[in-house]
Amino acid sequence: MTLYGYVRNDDKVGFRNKVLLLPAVDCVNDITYKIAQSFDDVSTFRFSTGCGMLPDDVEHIMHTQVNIAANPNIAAIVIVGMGCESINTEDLYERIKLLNKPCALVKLHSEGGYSNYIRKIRDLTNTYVEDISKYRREEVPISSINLGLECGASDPASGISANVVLGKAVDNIIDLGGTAIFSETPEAIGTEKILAKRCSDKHVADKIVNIITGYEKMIKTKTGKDIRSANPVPGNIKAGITTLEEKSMGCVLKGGSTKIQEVLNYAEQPSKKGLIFMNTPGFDAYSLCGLIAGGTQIIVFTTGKGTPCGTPISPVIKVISNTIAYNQQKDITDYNAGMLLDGEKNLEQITGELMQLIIDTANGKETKAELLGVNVMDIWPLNGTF
Amino acid sequence: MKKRALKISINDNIAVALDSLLAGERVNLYSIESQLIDKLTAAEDITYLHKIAVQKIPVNEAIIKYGEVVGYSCKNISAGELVHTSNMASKPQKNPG
Repeated sequence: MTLYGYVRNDDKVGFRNKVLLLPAVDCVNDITYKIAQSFDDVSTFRFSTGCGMLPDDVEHIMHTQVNIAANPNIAAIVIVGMGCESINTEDLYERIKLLNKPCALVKLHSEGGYSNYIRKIRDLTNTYVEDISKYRREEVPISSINLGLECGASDPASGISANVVLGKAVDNIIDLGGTAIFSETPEAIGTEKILAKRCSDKHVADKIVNIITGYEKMIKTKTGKDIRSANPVPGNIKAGITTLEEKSMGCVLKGGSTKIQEVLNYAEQPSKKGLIFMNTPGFDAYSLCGLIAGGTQIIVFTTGKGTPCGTPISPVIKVISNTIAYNQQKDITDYNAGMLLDGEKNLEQITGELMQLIIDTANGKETKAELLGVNVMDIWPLNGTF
Repeated sequence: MKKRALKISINDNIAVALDSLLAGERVNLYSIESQLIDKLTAAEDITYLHKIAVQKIPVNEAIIKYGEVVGYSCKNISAGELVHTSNMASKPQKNPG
């Protein structure tokens, strides 16, 4: 299993080589989208905020934007702004420059008109695309992988096939010195004691318990409802899940069995290798964005029923839990872990095949979501816009 | 083909039915490594992916799945019985019935 990647100036390794059109505010979404679609290897995403925000949210968004630009799959950045947004684009530009990647800032109100503005964004994008096309892959160790872990549209088989297999693959990658980040705090409610026992030290354990219990309290404050009384939902119970603890265990299983080395706030970058937990919502666009800001170059997404989910920056490998759903959702699914339940292949074979798929994807094999151009990603705001 | 159930972790006291089971049917119990580890008889009808007790579980005992405590029995459960909302809850019962 030989791995080839793009070694960046900070020694981090990218497995895609892309120009990022980074929207500073939602007003520019259509512009960045249309320009990105006219090139290969140019990424952007639909950003729903950036203006009418309180100062703590502005700082939180800018921190996330810088870390998205820092993702090793990104080779160059064009910041696309208006000039009047809450985000301080000059400050954002200065911070992104420190990443030591080619970058530029273009503002509508500084370009003497819309057509000049569009032309400048296009020209810069074109120049960067040509520049980065000269970058070449080189052999890199498995330890350079930072794998994002995600699940959605789950079913009860997810917890006994797809998440078990992914957990084994994660254990393999971590044994070889790599990193994996799992997230989605609301889905860990009920497992905080189990996860605390699995932390590398007391500080890490305290942080994970605080984040999960804090999230549970936040839901109660905002909605007046106890999530434990609402979960498992009737559909889960009908499908055989009895308690919230059982449901959540089936979800956190995808992190494998190694110790949790670090607990991150949303969109933070890990300072350690191994298994990492990040505080994110369960909402896929926000959690995927958090993982990308956390530097994950590849994401594995387990599902029971199937989902089209993908991101513009990190390839998303969809692993489905059962053969019936796989046969219906082949167009959007990369691997069928349901073979384990059919008795068709054993755990070792399936884990080996998933590992190979992760390596092949890193080496350039396109995922179904990449082939379809699926783009699900947005920054989780603290309070939103007013 | 013989009906199957999956014991995910070696320490589990329940397994997950990989086929829908009818009362009285013999069931092959497999480990996650696909090894046949035991046989048992379904004591009642058990739906696909629902839980079957692989051993006797006295009232207020931990229910173990994935090698972790995911709930407690609220009744005495015999091997082969369905383990679900009628005999399992998140917390131990104060007055077990």
